[in-house]
Amino acid sequence: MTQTDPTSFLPMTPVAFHVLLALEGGPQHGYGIKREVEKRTKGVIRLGAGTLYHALGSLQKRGLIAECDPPAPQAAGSSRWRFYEIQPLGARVLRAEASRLEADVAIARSRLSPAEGRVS
Amino acid sequence: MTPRRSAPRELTRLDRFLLGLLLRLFPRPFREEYRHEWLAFVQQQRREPHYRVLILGWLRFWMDIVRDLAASLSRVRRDRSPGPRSHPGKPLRATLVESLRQDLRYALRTLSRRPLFAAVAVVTLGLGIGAATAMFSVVDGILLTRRQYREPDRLVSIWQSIEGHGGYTDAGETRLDYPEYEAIREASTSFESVAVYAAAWGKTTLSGGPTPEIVTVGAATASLLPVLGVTPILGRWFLPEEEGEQVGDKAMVTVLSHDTWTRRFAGDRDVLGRTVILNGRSYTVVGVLPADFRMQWLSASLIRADDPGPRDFWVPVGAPGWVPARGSTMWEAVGRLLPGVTFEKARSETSAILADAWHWGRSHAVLVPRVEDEARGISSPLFLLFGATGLLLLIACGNVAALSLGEMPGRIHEVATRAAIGADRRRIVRQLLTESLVLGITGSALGALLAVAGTKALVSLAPPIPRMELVRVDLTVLAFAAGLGTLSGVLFGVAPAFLTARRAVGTTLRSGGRVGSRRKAGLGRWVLAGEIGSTVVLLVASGLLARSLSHLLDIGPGFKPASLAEVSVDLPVDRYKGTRELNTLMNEVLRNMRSVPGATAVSAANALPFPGNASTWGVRLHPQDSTYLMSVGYHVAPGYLRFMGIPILDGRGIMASDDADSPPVAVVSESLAKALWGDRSPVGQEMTYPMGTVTVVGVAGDVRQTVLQDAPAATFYVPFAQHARWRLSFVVHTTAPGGVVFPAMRAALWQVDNDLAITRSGYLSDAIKDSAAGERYRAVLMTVFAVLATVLAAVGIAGVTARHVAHRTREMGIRKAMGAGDGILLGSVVGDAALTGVVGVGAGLLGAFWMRPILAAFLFGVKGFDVPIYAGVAILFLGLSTLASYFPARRLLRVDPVMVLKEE
Repeated sequence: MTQTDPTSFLPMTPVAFHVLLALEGGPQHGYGIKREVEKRTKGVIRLGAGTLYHALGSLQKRGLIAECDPPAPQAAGSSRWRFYEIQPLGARVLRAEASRLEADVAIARSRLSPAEGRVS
Repeated sequence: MTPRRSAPRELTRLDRFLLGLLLRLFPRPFREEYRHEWLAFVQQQRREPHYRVLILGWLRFWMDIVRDLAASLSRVRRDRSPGPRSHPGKPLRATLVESLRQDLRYALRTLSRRPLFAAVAVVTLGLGIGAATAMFSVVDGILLTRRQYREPDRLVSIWQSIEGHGGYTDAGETRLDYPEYEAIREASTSFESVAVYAAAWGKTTLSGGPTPEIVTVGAATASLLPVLGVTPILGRWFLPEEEGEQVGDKAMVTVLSHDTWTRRFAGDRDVLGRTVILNGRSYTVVGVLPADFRMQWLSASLIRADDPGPRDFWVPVGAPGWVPARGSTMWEAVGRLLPGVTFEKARSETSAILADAWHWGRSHAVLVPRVEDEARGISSPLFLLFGATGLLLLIACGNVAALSLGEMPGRIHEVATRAAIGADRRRIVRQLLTESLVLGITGSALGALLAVAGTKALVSLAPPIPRMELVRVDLTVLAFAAGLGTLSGVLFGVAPAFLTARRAVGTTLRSGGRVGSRRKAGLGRWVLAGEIGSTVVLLVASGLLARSLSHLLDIGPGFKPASLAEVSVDLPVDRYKGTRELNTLMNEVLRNMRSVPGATAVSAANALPFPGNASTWGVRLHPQDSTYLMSVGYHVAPGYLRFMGIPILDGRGIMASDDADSPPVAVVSESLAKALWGDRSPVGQEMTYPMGTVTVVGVAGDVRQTVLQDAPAATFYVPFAQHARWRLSFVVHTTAPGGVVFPAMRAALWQVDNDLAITRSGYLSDAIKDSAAGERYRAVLMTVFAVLATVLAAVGIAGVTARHVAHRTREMGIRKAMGAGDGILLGSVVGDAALTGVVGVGAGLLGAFWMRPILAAFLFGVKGFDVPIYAGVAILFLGLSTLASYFPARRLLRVDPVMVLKEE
């Protein structure tokens, strides 16, 4: 496989970013991702079914994530779910997006005057 | 429906259905890929604690679903169609389906942006649709569903009307005796076949288990099922050779009701051939009836007597206790007309046959279409209530329409923008209509949920109405709810949609949508006035029904029913040949009854008021008189009048010395005395009734017979010892608990004759209360509907006023700046609302006045035009509309004139 440039996927939508972030911790099914994201963002990002599966679909199409077998211990109760795992490319894109955001935030911080709270 | 405790919620069937529909909005590839995951996800989501609170949780859940749908649909579709469609500015020829989907998405998006409006609209519609649907399920189950009969149009009930003999029904019809049925069967050329059945007074004991249980038994001819066109679901019905008197040990057969089969025999298919013991005789089970077989004792329900409902067991005519005898008019008849035979021909022919067959009076046939007969006395109250829910739904629609109109000024800008970028007016109307359809359909989903609960409540509160137990929310009912939702969506959506589109297309963006807001407020006010008017009609109706009910319950029955416990039996003619045997039985049972716990006194009669199942006789002063007075005759034990608390006004009561050997005597009621003798005292006078001539020895107070609203009938009392009947009601005065009293009374009875079938048992006071059950049901339901309507109307007034205030802020600010006081401003807004109230209340009172004839049939002791009620409702409503507008209007006081002027 040729090395794809991860920056060509940037910028990502917040949903896609958080989905990748959730999968970084290991394979997960749709509802698990939703819970993970909600926990992490303290409920700021609430994923609905349509939004989530649209994001999963497009991430999969672009090779950032892939479907995988359910992890063994959970198989009994959650076999009906499709599980997804992050791909190496996905992990690189995630890092690239994180540093892009970091850079953006740094710029914003330096340019924002705390007194007025306005972008000049 | 939903359990109360705060357990995780699951998706209901309705939810799944709706989700399935919504899923179709996604493009096919997405749907095929993610269908299962999507549903599993949503199912899991529903279980979240966030959505646990009953109806609120459900609404929250659906709001989130719709929000997600609105957000994701556009993304999914954008991904799919990257072609020329995504180029803006170029009008594309989308297919109809495509543009419908767009409208739907647009509607979902705009609605989710106005959650309060959407929630109020959906809840309002849900209430209206729920009430109408629940009532419809009752109407549908009781009146419209006639699946069980083949070609029901050809089925007729056959009654007779005997001159000089009162009837069982309001129209005075009487049942047939068996020889009359045989005569019709043999001689009639109008009927394909005729059948009779006796379904009421046949409670009997089923033994074979540990304790005898009381079950209900009906008897019928072998022709009954063929006539109706019903087939058993298991086994067979009776054969003609199984009819007729059963002699010796000949095997007897029985057919089970579906209910008995499932409850007592656990739906076991091997039940055929099993033996059951009824009243000590064994019967072989030969068949099981379909679940919707509901042959009822129409005469019992028509005189509002206690009817035990569908029979548990059916036996052929001639089985012990069901021996056909001349003069025993216990058989209800149903016939199937031959094709092409007119009703009139069948009637006159049957009349001729009956005239020959009847042995002591002139009789003619009364034919009633079966379907109509089964709904007699039931349909008009149901339609009254159904009409009330229709009005409630109209009010709900009016509410949403008024709210939508109130939203208009705020939306003109948005819509004008769409018009400016090229949407034509038709498209805009369609979009706005889609929005109201979405509201309507969501409302009907909520309504269907409410209807499930409402129907259960309606059924459990209902007075005994045949077939009530068949009422349920089925597909027809759900379709009705969906239809109502769509219809109401169009109903409340059309005017606002057209108005908005017209305004918007002609409006420049710059005017900020302030144009024309006055006129729309005007239309909203008219809608509101109509709504108030309808509510007033409902309130007046419920007030009248409630007042009528209280009038009814204030009437004394003419005797003292407190603490009187009754057990009634039918006595077999074959074992009790005449007055002597019957009287002996009565005295023995009465002696036993004295030892019933707490018994202070006992008595008996062949019948009791409420149900008032005594026979009616023609009474004359002299045997040769050609005119007679229809009177109710009671055959009573000594001391009955004193026992019942019926006052003796003149002379004496029936005494123990009035036995078979002494001269026949009677006590007459006040009204009978007045009718026959005027102001003279009847004591010592003679009168004649079909059983003989009697001497009047006393005058007793009047007693109401079957229902409290009917004036007391002319009544006479004769000693049971002198003229007995084959039916006895034993009454015990006791304050001991019913759980002890009734078993003891039954035991006292069975100690004398173990084979007696108990036909009724209960307290007389309950029987009186039950006689007004229909009135109570109507009054309670009408009140519930009226209260709902009032709440909706209040919400409507408050909502419309709030909008109105919001759009007049600028005007008010300016007026304030120019020195107008708060009072004047408040007055102008509240005054507007009050004016609407006055118009609405006026229209409503006129409407109620106009509807008097419809209500009059249901009223007792109240005129259709009752000034206190009309006035009370008017005052209530004027106050309500002022209050409901006052609170939103107070917001004006906070308007800062400086801010307003600055904006200008």
